[in-house]
Amino acid sequence: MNHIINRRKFIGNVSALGLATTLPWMSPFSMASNLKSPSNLVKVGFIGVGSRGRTLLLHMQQTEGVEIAAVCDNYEPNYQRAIKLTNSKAKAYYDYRELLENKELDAVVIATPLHEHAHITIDSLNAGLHVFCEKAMAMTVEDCMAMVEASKSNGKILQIGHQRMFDPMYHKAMEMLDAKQLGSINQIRAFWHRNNDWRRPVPTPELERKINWRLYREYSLGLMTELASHHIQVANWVYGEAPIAVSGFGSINHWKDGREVYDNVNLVYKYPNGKHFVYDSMISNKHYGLEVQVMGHKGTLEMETGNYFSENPPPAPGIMQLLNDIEKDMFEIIPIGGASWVPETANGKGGEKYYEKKKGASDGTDYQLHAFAHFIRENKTDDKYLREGYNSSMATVMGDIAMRENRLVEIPEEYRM
Amino acid sequence: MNIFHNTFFAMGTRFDVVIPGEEIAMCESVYSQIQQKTLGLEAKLSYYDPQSTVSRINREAEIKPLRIDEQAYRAISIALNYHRLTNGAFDICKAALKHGIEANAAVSTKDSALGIVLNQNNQTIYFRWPGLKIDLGGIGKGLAMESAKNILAQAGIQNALLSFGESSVLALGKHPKGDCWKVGIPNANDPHNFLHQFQLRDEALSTSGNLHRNDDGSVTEIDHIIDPETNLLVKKNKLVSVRSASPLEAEVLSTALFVVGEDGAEKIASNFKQMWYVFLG
Repeated sequence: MNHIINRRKFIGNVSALGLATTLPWMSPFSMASNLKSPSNLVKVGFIGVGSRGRTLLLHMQQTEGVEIAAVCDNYEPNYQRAIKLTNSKAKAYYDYRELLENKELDAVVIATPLHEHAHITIDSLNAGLHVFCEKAMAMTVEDCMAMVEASKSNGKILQIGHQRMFDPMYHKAMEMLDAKQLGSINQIRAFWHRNNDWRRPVPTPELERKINWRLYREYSLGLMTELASHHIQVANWVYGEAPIAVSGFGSINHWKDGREVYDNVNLVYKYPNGKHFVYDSMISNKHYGLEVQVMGHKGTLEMETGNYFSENPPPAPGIMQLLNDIEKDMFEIIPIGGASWVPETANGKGGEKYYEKKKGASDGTDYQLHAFAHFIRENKTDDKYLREGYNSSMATVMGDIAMRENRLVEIPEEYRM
Repeated sequence: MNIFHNTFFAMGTRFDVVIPGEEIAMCESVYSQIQQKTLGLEAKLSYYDPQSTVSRINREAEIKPLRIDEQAYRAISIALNYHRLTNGAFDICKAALKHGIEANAAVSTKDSALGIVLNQNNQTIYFRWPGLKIDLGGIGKGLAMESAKNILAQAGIQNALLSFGESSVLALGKHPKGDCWKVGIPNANDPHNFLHQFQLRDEALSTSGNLHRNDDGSVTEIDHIIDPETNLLVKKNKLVSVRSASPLEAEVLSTALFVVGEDGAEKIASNFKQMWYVFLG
C-alpha cells in the first residue's frame, strides 16, 4: 500500500515539475513497466553505510524495483545499523571483497571515505557490477581516469553522486540558461560556508582518523572533495565544459586542532574563452551560507535558492508595440497609461522566485538513485553523467594542487573529458 | 532607421526610453544620464530607503531645523507650492499616511502641510509639530521626467518617447511616420479598447488610477493615493489623465484631480493655464 502511494506521489511530482521532458526516463511510461517482476528487479549492495551511505540507503529503499541485497561496513556500529535498517534481509559483510563475490548482485553503491572510492569502484566494475559512487571520485586525477576506464572496459555503468543534476530546481535553472535568458555568462561565483569544526564525535581516541577521515590528507582533500565538488560540477554544467586552469589559496586559520585539510579556501577557475568560476569555502563563518550565482549580462541566477534577478525590467508592452511599429513603418496608437506598473516582486528590482522549493522536497538524491536503477534495467546510460562526475572530481583535485603548490595549474587537454 | 530603446528600474517601477533616428552611441550616453539623474533623485527622495534625505527628514526634522541637500529642498518647495495651487489636494504630509503610520494629530490635522517650515537662506526644513512625516512619491517621477526632458534638449534630441511606469509619458517631437505620437489609454479590463486617445507633441501625459494592469494581462487593484479630506485611501475605480507641456505639472495634477474627482477638478484646473484633463471609466 505504502508503495502505491509513494509511486503515485512520485509520478505526480515528476510530471508537475516537467522533469519528464528533461529526464525522459522519468516519464510515466518508464514507470509503468512492472518493476516488481523478478527480471526487472535490480539487486544492489551498499559498501560504506556511514552518514551519507545511510541517507542513500534510506532513499534506495523508497526506489521501486530495487532490492538492497547486501550491505558492507568495516566499522561495527555502522555494520550493525545497516543490518537493522534492512531488517536483516540484506546479507552483511565487513569486507567489500567478500560482498563482490555475491553473485546475486547487479550493482553496488559506494559511500566509503574518499581514499577508498577508486580501488573499490574498480574492483566492483571488474567484478561485473554497475557502480554508483559518491562524489568526489578520487584523490588523484589518475585514479579518476582509471575509474572511468574500468567502466568502459567492463561495459558497466559508473555514476557519480551529484544530486544537483537531478534536482528539479536546478533543472528549471538550466532551462532558463538554455533559453539564453541570462545572455552572455562570463562569471559564476559559488560559496559554501559553515561555522563548525566539521568533526564527528569519536567514541575512543584511536578511532579519530577513521571517524574524522575528512580532516586528514591521507583520506580526503577536505572542503574541496567533500563540498566544492558539487558546485564545481554545477559550474561545468552551466558552462558546458571543464576548466582549463586554476589558481587559489588554502589555509588552516581557525580550527588548529591537528587537522591537515584547509578550513579556508579561495579559488579561481578559468574556462575556455576566458570565462571564470570563483569559488570559496570556509568553516568559521556561516553568515552567507551557500549559493551559486550565475551572472549574465541580462540577469543573475541564484541556483541554490531559486532566485532570478533581471538586469533590466521587461519593457512596457506598449513600448514593445511602438518599437515593432517603427520597424515596420507603421504609425498606430500605442496602448499606454494607467496606474504605474509595479514589478511582480516586492523589492522593485526585478528579483523573482523561479522555483519555490517546498520543505522536504527532493534535492535530487532520490531521483538520481531512481535513474541509476533505470539505467541498469536499460543497461545503458547517458555519457554526460559520468563526464560531469569526472570533470568535477578532476577540477577538484587540480584546485587542491594549485593551493598546495601555491601556483597556477594549467589543466591539460587530456585531463578534460 | 536607428531606434534606441532601453529600460531601467527606478522608483518602484520601470522607465522606458525610446529615441528614433539618432546615433546609438549618443543615445546610450543620454540614456545613462537620465538613469543616473533618476536614480540620484530616488536616493534622495525615497520614503523607503533609510539613507535618503526624506528618511532623515522624517526622523530628525521635528527635533530642530535640518539642513538638507538642494535637490530635496527644491522638491519640497515645489510640492508645497502645488499644495497651495491645488487647494490642498496635493499633500506630501497626508501622502505618508498610506504607509500605515499612526494617524497622529500632526499628520491628520486638516492642513498638516502648514507644519512644514522651510528656510531658504539656510536650506533647512523644520517640522513645527512632532509626528509629522512627508512622502514625495507623488512628485518624484515628475521631477525625474522634467530632468530627462532637459537632458534630451541639451543633447539636441527632438524626437523621443519616454514612459515612466506607463502612468507618465513624455512625447517629444514626433513618431518617425507621423507628425506626433499617438497614445491610447487602455481599458484595464479590456485592453483592446481605448478609453481615450491622445495625439501628443512636445507634451506630457500623466494618468492616475488604482487599477494596475500587469504585463501578463491580469489586473490588480492597488489603492495608493490618500484623500487629505478623509485621511483615507481613495477607493474609486476611475482614471484621470492630465496633459501638459510640463511633465512635473501633469504628474502632480493627475494625483490631485484623482483625489478631488470630477466635481472638484475644475476649481483646481482654473489655477493652471496650459493643462487639459479628462476623467475616464
